[in-house]
Amino acid sequence: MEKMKKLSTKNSKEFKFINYLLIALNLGGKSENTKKINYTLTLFPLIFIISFILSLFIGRLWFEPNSIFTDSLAKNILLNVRLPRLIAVSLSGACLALSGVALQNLFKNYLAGPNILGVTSGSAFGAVLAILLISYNPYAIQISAFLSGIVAMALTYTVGKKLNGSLRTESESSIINLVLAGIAVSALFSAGVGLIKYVANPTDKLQAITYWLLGSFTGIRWDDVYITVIPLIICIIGLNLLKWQFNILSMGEENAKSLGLNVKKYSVIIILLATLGTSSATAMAGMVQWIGLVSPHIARLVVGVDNRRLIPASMFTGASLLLICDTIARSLTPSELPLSVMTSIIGVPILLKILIRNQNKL
Amino acid sequence: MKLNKNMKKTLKTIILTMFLCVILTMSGCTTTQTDTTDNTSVKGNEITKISTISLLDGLNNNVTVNYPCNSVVSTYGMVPAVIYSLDAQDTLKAGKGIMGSDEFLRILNPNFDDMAQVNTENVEEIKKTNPDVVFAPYWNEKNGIYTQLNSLDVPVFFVDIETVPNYYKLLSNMGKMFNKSEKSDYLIDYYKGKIQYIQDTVKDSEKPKVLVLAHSAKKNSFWTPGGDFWGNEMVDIAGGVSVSKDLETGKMPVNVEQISNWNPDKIIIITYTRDFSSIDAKNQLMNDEGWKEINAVKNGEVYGMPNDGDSWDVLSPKFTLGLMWTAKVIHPEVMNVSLKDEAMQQYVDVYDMTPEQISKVKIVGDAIN
Repeated sequence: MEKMKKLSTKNSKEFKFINYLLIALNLGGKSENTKKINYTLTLFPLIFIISFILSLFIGRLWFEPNSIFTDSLAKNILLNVRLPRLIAVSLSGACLALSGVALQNLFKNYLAGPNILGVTSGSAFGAVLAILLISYNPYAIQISAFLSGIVAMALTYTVGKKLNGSLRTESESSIINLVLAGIAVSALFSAGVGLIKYVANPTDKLQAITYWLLGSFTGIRWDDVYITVIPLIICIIGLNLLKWQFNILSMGEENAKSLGLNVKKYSVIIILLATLGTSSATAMAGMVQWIGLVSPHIARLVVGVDNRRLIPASMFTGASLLLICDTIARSLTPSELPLSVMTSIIGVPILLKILIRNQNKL
Repeated sequence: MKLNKNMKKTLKTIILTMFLCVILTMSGCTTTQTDTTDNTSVKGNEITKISTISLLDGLNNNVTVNYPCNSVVSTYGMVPAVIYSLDAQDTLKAGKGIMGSDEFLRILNPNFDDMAQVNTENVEEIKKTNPDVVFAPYWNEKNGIYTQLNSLDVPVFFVDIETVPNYYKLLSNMGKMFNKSEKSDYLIDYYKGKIQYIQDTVKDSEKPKVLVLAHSAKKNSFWTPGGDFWGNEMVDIAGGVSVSKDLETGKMPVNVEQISNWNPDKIIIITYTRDFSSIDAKNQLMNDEGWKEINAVKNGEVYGMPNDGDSWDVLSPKFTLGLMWTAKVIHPEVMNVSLKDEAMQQYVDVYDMTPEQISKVKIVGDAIN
């Protein structure tokens, strides 16, 4: 194993393949693995649980935890306002992070994420179109956001494939072209959002669109949780069940095929699950930036690249990060701060720090 | 005593000069404004005399416009209704109303929608209407189209109507521009009288905590007016204490937790669309579990602001209706008036509407009768 590690630093294709294969089949570096699995099993869920409990008792209305048994206002705020909101935030954060890590694996690109590949812009376009055409129907907004997110992702994937071959190697070409396609598709849907904003009535529809685009979990109640919990849970369970396939896929298409994996089928399933999660979260809260991109990077720093640990670690990181951002957004000032502003303020420095750290390592 | 020839000549000159002075002074008195000036312009072989008037706009810029203004464009949705209230609607070449007020303006002028053909965001389209002045919102001063308009010799008059004194100032300025000072003076006195009546009626009553909430068109989501927004002054004049007055200025999104913290005695709900009325928003709020422990909700003191095309909570020609209604829901024990009757009367007093026009107005909201 030591010998293999030394050789792998040479970055040869063969050793990368063998290393990935060992990881995928759970055969490599047992003692190290066990340590990292412990991290995954304890550290990330623990941070999430602490964040959740703290968020339950932080807000504009301060009360002692035991007052929920005596004060009906405190009890109501805790059970009917904060609890459904925190559940929605946690599930959305988990889904966004899982979508991010899934797309990063699928496209073998650490810059990939729901935002970069156009899913968020696509969902945003679908939602604002529904707001423009059908007023005050949250179900229509959600369905429209989901469908439009799928269209955006399909477009990115198709355009990215068509652009292949313009660079030296296949993998280089695939990665860069996919990101370029994502940027183009994202710009296209962003232009659509801009056009809808331009034609929307500035006094009602435009206000609703702007408010929605800034992102917020305000007003989320149990009814909303019941509606969105199903697609979010499907995304979470589905992507967690594909941990082993992610490891195989990350070896490259040819290697995955040679190991008997139906790459096309799994690619479609992963894209559908990631789009389902992202668009459901977007339909509920509006545009939530950076969580999908940053969370897998944070998790990767701690648990490494093995998807069996990375997937749950990213999930808990996304949930915790979004909980923290949402708690600050709703508690810092009497007026709620836009969620996207908070996720950007917190997410961007973290990403930059990670990138600088990785740069220094090279 | 005999006057010599030179003295006679001097006397004649003095008398003639004095006569001319008197004539000039008298002619000065007959012009409407002291701040107007006359210029001549030659167009082909025709010599036309153009009067101009200089006025301070909402940003204290000195704006010189043709007098009287015969052609105006509005890029600010609050302005068309004010122009209609001054009986100067014939001057309006382009400009839509705000917050559904087009519906009301269509009753006053069935051809109102023809103006919608002009894109008021496009400099060329605006210039084509050859306006004497363009009315624009004060917060848009840096917008490039206004610099371009100025360079095309189209004066831009920035409008700031966030407070009652500013509203009076605008009425007065527009009255001068359109040569409708009589109407603008009448309206200012009319509004002052209504405010005085409201203040006198509620002055001895206790001031409850009042929250003004505007629905943000997303389920269970609201914003509230910050510091210097009219909503706070409206509550103050109507005899209440606005709980959101200490927020920073602007439309501030607030959640139910913050509102629980304020725990208001009365809540006034506003929507700016006829598709989802203030009554709909109120019903949504009353059925939301999150609000049930707030005093106003527990005591059934939540009211939907009336909307007749315009929501009555904005500083528009109907703002005294909104004030009177707010005073009525805050102090029903002293402000015992029918807002429906009051509205019918104000439509005549402000817009000079006919009974046929009034019959087309539909008011939606709480506590109207």
